[in-house]
Amino acid sequence: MNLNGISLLFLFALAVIVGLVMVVGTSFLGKWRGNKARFIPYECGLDPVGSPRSRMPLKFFLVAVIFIIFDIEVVFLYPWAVVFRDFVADGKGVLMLVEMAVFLGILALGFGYLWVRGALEWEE
Amino acid sequence: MLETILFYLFAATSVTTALLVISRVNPLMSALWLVVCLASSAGLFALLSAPFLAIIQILVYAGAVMVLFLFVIMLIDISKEALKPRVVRFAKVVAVSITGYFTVIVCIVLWRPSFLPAPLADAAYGDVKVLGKMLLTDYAVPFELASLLLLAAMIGAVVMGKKKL
Amino acid sequence: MNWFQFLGLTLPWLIVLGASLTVLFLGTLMKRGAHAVSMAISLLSLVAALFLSWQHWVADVTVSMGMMSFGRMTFLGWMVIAIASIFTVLLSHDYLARRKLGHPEYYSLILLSTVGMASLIAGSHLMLIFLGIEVMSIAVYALAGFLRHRLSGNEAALKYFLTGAFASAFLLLGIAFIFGTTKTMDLTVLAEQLPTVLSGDMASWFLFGVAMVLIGFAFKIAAVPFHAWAPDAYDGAPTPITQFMATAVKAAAFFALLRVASPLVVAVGPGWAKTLWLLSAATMIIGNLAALMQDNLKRMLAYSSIAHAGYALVAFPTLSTQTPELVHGVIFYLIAYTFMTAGSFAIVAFAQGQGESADVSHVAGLAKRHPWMAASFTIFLLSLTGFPPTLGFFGKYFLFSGAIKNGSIGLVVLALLSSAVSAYYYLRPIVVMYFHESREGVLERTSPATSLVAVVTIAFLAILYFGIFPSDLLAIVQRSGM
Repeated sequence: MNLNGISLLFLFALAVIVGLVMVVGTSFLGKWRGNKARFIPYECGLDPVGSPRSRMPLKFFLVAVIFIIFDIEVVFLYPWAVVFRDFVADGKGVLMLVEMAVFLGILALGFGYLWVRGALEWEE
Repeated sequence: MLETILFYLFAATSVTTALLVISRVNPLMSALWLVVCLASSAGLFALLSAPFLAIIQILVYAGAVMVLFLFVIMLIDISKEALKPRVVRFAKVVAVSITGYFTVIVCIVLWRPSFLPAPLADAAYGDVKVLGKMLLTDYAVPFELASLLLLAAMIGAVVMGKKKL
Repeated sequence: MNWFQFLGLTLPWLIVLGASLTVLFLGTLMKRGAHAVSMAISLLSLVAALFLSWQHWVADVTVSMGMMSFGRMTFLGWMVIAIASIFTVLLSHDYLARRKLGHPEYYSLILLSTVGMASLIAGSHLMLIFLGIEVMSIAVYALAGFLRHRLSGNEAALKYFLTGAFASAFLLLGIAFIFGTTKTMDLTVLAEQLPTVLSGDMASWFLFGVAMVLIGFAFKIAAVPFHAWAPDAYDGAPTPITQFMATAVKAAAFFALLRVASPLVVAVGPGWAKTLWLLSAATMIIGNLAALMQDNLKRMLAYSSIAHAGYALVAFPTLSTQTPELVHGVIFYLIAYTFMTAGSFAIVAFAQGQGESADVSHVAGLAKRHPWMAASFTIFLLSLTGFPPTLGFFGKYFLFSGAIKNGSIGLVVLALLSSAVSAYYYLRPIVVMYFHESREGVLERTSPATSLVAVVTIAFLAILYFGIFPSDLLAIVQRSGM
């Protein structure tokens, strides 16, 4: 096991601990003033009727897919950024710049397409 | 020592949560257990000295892909009836027994009395720098092709998901 | 790596890629005439790709770079998919215009898919082959569901996507096992390392990986028992896309399988030969038997395409680097199959008219109203059955004679028996066309669109010309090497 892995695990552990402390901590620190009305969505008027599991419109889905695609694009950007300086030192900087420009260019065109097509607009 | 303990911890978590994913009746609960499963396999990747992969596992799978899963689950209207525990049918019995048979065969074939310990990877293995160099030199063509894959997915998502085409 | 040479060699598909992006933007920004312009650009780029691939073929460059291996075989594969995609684009214009679906995304996805196929055919590295398959498939998943208002269109897309994603998972797992046991994904290096791997203690893990890769490919070529998605996906997709899936996608997958099979699947030994034997036998028997029961022409052609994949698989159990005649037989068969299937789907698209149903009754009375169309359909169906003097006959002849020479006599006997069965369902539409009265209003008196006639004519001429002079086509295939 190398040092990278261990430091990463510390980060994971820290994230879990912070989350747990927040959840558990609030229940100890805060004083719970409870009555029955607090479990009702609205404290006045009618009780809500119908299933709480309402259907999500499809447009959310489109946004989510587009988000994932650009998320994955960023994943590719990261290792490139780490080694770019080394490539410049080797004299291969221009080639690497072009490689990334082509990669990003195709996706930027895709983004442009989404824009002009109106896929980013909120259709009612 | 610590490594072994951590390995068993992550391995046990991922196997248990994977079982929970496929056995929950409510798909939302399955999806949430899947997050834990993916996160613990990210821990395994970190132990295998592949920090980049571990980060990606959290960022893309436990993050973005899970968001999509949850959206899809909320997209489809799941009534109370659909959430009833499943009935065991004849076809399922057959399917499970065939799968079991296949698993046994594979286990017999693949079983070796002693597994060789995996050769120790050098410190740079799985490092982001090495990965980046490989990606941009040897794997340059697949790297560019990946952008086409993403573009095709983008257009496909619009074709399938946009209300007014 | 010499990037300029690489760009020169991949130029045909760079043009197609450029056209794909142009169509995407131009089609979106133009208010009127977007459909015609999209179609024209797509057609021009594919014709340019066909021409440039032919130029490469003539120049006979053999070089491996950038995880691709270029050679005459690659260029021949490129030509086949370019022709199949040209047919799709030609069929699409009229089909989409009738349904007011002429969106630029449609053409753009077809072009992107062909770029994926081109890298799949050229790839000599499992990573590139996988990415090629994915680019190809993802575009086709969306295209299969392009009739969004139809329930069966959605069903087609969903079934195709889920089974396809499942197949990709198998393929990727197999590649991971192969990489894990051999530390390489390059097919040439793999072929060299094969003896050491098979005698080493990782052999069974390696074989497990090979099995997974084989399953992944079997899904893509719709071989039994991995075929269940095909009839529904073929039926619900728009007819030009069904044609695309049956010809271009299948041809590209077979070209890749040929490249992967000789170092991986076949070289492993007699155990795999038996598996491939069973795969081939099951595919042709079940494909043909299920086709007997279909009233829907698209479903019938879907099962027929499964059966034809079974015929092409006849060559695989005995395939090796020493059997060029088997490789040539498969490729000749694929080319023949592309022409006859594309032609048949053109007729189906015509008979469908405005509607979506593809029942066999739609061609009733076609012989009276459109005698040439009926005659061409007859030729396509006879060619699919394998009657002389059509291209389909010589496709089967070269394929099966090569297989007999290498000792798979039992399999060839099975193939011949099942193609005798296939005559029944191929001849049925001919009977309906010539002897049944047309139902009122099913077949309008409208004349077919020019582009549709072009597809039928090209396919018709190719089948008859190469059916009478098969040595011309065979020479091209044989000179492509292996």
